[in-house]
Amino acid sequence: MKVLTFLFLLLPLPALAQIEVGVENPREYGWWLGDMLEQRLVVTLPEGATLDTASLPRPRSVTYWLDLVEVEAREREGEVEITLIWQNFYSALEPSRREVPSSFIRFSDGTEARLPGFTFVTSPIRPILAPSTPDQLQPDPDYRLVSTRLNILGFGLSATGLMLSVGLLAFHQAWWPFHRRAARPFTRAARHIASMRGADAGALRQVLHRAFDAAFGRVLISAELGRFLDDRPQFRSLETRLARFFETSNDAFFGRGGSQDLPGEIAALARDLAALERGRR
Amino acid sequence: MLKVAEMDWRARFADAEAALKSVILGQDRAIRLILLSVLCRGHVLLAGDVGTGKTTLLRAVARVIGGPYSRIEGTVDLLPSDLLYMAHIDENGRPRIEPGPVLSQGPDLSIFFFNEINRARPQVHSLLLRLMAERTLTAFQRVHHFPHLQVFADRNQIERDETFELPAAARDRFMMEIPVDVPESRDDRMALAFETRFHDTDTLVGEVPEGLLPYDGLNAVAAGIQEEVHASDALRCYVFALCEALRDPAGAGLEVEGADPARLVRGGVSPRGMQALVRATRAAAWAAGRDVVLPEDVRSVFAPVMAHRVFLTPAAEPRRERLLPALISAAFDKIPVPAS
Repeated sequence: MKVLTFLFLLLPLPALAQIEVGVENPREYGWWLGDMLEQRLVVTLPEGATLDTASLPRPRSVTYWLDLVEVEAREREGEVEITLIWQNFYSALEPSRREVPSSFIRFSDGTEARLPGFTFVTSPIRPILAPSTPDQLQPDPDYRLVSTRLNILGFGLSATGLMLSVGLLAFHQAWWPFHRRAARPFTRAARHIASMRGADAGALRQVLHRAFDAAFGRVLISAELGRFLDDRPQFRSLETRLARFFETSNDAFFGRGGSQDLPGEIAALARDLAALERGRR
Repeated sequence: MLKVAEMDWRARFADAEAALKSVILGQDRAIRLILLSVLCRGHVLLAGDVGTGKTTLLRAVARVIGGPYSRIEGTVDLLPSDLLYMAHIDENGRPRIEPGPVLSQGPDLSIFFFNEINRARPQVHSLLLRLMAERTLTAFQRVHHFPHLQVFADRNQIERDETFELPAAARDRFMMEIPVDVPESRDDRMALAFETRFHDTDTLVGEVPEGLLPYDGLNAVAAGIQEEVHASDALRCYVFALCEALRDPAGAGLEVEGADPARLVRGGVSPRGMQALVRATRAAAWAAGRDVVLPEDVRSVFAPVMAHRVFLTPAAEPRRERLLPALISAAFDKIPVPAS
């Protein structure tokens, strides 16, 4: 039984025995704030296994004073060479030994190996009580004025292009000032009729009939007067006069030459229609 | 005023229209149009779905007019001679040729009713050309005259198999093609389905008083109407402009959605068609109680008189049912009236 227990304890030993980690640490002394420390490690690979690169330490801020800046792994025959570049941000007030932590890597067969840490001593760059003066600063680099002419030209062209685009869009969408003015056929007809001095009633009637067509959106005949008034109820107050206009028109154009009204009546009706059209009554 | 009005024809017309409306529900417009064609002595083609009452309407109108009446059913094997002659074996076992449906009623034949005309072959349609245009036929080696004849025909628009499109010449001789659709009103459709009065068409047609518009007086009335109803110059211009717009929609500046107006119409707005339109508008004005024709009379009969005479280009013909009403509506919307 004792023998078995002893053998059991020896079981992991062959695996451990196969992995060797050779370390080439940076020097132990003489490091300042901001220095990069390069640690090279050579790890022998277990038989038939490869490095699981996902297990490599990730470049990161390890602690407030230490960054792992770069990790590089090169696999060779039976071994892998790992280069870790650390950066020291420890602002030492006096020489101080800092300890870089160890980390673990894993291989494809599941075995793990420890990458050992190391220590180094970092020191202040200058005496802590030395005064700071401006002449300690590096001189400013020379400067030259950048020409902004091209930028101004580009801005001008862009602004013009923008204005033009907005203008075209406004035209396309019929926004102001390209919006169509409200069609006012009766107003136009009233002006036209007022300018037709001496014309006979038939000619005036035709002008007003065309205005009715334009207002209705299609040719309006007497039988559709009711529908017109339903569509444009603002003219309903003139219903009787409109009915009489169409009736007289039917007589004049399609009858046997019966009743005729005076040109003045047609002009008055056109004026009243125009006033209603512009919402003035 | 009108002499025909003095003869009480307007009251008779109103009675006939009321009687027809009482037995044929939801077809007021078709009834008005068919009565107008009676007043113009024009032949009528009814078109519509099956079971919408086309035959009942024609039978009822035939009863209103009275007079000898004959009918034939269109079939694919019907021959032109079947309209003129009836061959049979007499009681002595000898073959005999008797006058067929057109001739059997003699010269007073008032209505010849051709049921399902689109089932008959084109040669049968051809025989109708002369009968409809001249109201004469040659049979038994002599010419027969039918001065009172009016041809009513119907066709259903559902079936295409074993049917023959009416030739252009035959279509042009029909004064109107009147659409008979299912009644729009829900109440009318319910009444037609549930009221037993509408189930027996023979009894239903029998309810219409016979001879309200006596057939032998119609020719004189029709001539009187055409003589006495006035069509002014402005109206003539309107009718002409409408017909021109139908003949050349692009030239009239019409716009029809989904079609190029320049390549829409192939022809067919014939002088005979315009003549029929003028006759129908005068009759419509008379029926409305006027002695002058107004634009609304033209509009009320324009589609039924002109639509079936318009021949569309091959590309547009399959969409006829949509394009033609749109074209006519565009013409109404665009052609100004009154205009100089």
